[in-house]
Amino acid sequence: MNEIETEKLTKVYRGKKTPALIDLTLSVPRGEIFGFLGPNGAGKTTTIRILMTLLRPTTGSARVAGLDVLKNPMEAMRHVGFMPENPGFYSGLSGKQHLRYYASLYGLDRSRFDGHLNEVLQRVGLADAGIRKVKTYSLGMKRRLALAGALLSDPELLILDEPSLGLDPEGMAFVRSLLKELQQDGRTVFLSSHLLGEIEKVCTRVGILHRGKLLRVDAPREISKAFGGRQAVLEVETRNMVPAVLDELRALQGVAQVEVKDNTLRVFGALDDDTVIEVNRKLVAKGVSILSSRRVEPDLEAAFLALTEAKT
Amino acid sequence: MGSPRLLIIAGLLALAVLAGTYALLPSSGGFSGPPAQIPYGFNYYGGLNSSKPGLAILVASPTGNHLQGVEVRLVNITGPILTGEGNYPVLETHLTDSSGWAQFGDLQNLYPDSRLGVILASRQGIIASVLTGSRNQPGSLVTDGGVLAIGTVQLSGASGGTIISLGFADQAGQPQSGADVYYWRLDLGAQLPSPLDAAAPPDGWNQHRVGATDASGYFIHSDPLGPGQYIIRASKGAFNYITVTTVYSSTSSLNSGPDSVLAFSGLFFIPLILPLMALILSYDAIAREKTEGSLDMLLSKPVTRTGVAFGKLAGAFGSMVFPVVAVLLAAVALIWATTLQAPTSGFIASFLVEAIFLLLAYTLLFLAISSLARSLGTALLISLLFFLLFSIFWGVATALIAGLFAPVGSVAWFQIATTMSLSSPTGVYQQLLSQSIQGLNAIGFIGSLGGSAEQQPLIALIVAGLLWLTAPLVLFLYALKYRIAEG
Repeated sequence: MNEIETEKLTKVYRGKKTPALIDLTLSVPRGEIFGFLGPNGAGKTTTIRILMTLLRPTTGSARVAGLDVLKNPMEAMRHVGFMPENPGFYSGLSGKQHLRYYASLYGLDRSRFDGHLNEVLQRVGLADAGIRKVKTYSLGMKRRLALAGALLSDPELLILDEPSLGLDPEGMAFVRSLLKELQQDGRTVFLSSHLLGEIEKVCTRVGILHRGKLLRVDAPREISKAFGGRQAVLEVETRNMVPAVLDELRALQGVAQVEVKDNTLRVFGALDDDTVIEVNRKLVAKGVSILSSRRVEPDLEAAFLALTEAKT
Repeated sequence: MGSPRLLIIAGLLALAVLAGTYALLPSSGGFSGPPAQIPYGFNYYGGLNSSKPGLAILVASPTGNHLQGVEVRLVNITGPILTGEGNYPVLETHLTDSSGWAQFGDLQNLYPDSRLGVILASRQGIIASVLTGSRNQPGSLVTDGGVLAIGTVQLSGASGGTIISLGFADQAGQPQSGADVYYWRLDLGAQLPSPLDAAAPPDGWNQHRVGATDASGYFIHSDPLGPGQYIIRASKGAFNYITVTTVYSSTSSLNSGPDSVLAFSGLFFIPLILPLMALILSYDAIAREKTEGSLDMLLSKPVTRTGVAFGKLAGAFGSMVFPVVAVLLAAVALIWATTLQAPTSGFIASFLVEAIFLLLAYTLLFLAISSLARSLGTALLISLLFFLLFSIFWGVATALIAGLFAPVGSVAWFQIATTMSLSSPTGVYQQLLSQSIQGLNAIGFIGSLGGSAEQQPLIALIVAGLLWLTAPLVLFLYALKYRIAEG
């Protein structure tokens, strides 16, 4: 069953001509960690706000935990934990008081409140700070509190807008391990991020959003492979380079560029395994000696830049 | 939820209301109710030849008891009679007898060539006076056989009205019992018949008989009478006397009566401080959360927008209503403790309900503004503008605009102004308040004007009040459900 489903979601903000979202259709099955990628202004937060019933789409529909967010918002929100990009708190209340308030909104069992709240605070690393007023919190602490708020009701779906933002490396590692934990638990996570390296490491699938349009949805590796090619490099340390082989290499499918510097041959392109084998074969056939051969894997950032640059 | 704010503004309210109430309380520690003793003075001339001037006093209570043993003084008034000024030389002192009368006779011989007067020992003010000796002008003061002295007592409080009583004696100062008494009412400002002693109502005097004098020549009409000109006649046999007394519209001064003291804060402090209170505590209820991001945290939970709206309303209104009611009840307690009289319970109840209405209407208005405004600063600015407009300028504006259509002070002007003022919650409040104070007839700052015939019908006020509660509420709900979600 799909935890998130959108059907041609479109949003035009009042007074603006350009739509923020255009016909966004995606689905996130249960158990997946879905990463939402896009440059600033792509529409990620807009999408998330629509899913969280904070924003009404101009046209289209969205379902969360199987419930229509426009027709059944209250029920839908019962199944979701939300961490916004800029969480707002009441500066005069403590972290624990906030959680208590949210818990009451979820209708959580009052008899187990205290223990549960402490557990959640511990999980996000705010065990000691829970009783302090939020106005004494650092940015990182506020984000941890927001995360605690998302985890509070033990939801089947978590929607996290920039979860690693403002966290130190330790915090980011924590988020990563938390996400893995959640996935093992059978939860579904929908997160948006700028940190492509982080996304790559944790997400089952990734959707790339650009100017309101969903360009591509796939596993991170597939996307990298498909679009990162221009930046991928095969570095070969050679002796006895034969210039004529360079043209042959250039003619190979998947090869974008070839260059030689000193004794290092660099082949650029969408270098799948077959291409690499062909390169080696051609070199050997021409009598070029290979001392070492190393493939620099394309990464998501490359793919991302390639995809979005192409569309500009 | 801004509890320092609440404390400050509640403190301000308490200070204003209680200090204002205290300032208005009579310093003698009690309200001047109807006087305990009403004197009726008679000057007479012992027969048609005016040779025996005399003075008499009847003293009775407001409820008609003839008061025995009241000290009455005969004084020599030299020079101009100035009521209550100076200490006139006391010539004689008598006590009223069992019928309430004290008589001073043989004045011509005892005090010739003098102007004499009678006063009560307990208070200043010449009740009646007479001339003796060569200053006596026979013939000019002869009446048609009887002498009539009228006493009026103005009642304050919720019922209002005036009680008229009288004493009737003959030309020798002898009380006339069993004389028929007649009251004939004409409107204020109506032309009086002339000559007065030949006057008779169109349907005849018999239709206007209200009773007869008692053994002391005393009559009291104990039902309070409304405004008007009252032609009063007493007659027995050959003795006949007609006089006229006027009862004006009751414009009781604000100092009279516990109801009025409480009403004072309703007229001056409540319409200013309560909306200000509502503003201070509600203007940022939604706007601040929008700006600071906590609204997203709230709305992304399993809550309905309607639930959030009523939660905000309950929070804002609930935190204000208790201090307000407490302060107003404290004012009532203050009045009671100082004067041992409390405002009538019906008035207290309507006063509280009206204040709560005002508070609720403005809370809803500012909540609606808070949810529609794009930023915290805008919310504050718009709220302030509405506060200033409705609470302060609207009264002047409606009076001025009404003045374009009708002469100022006329009935039409008043009606236009009061209809227009319904377009602010403060206007509705002020009119509701003035209608629940009978006899006060003050509409906000416009002042005392006319009687109930010119006021808005109560049903119009109630409808306007309900509109001022529902319209902002609907706007508030709409803003939370749709406007905020539009982005």
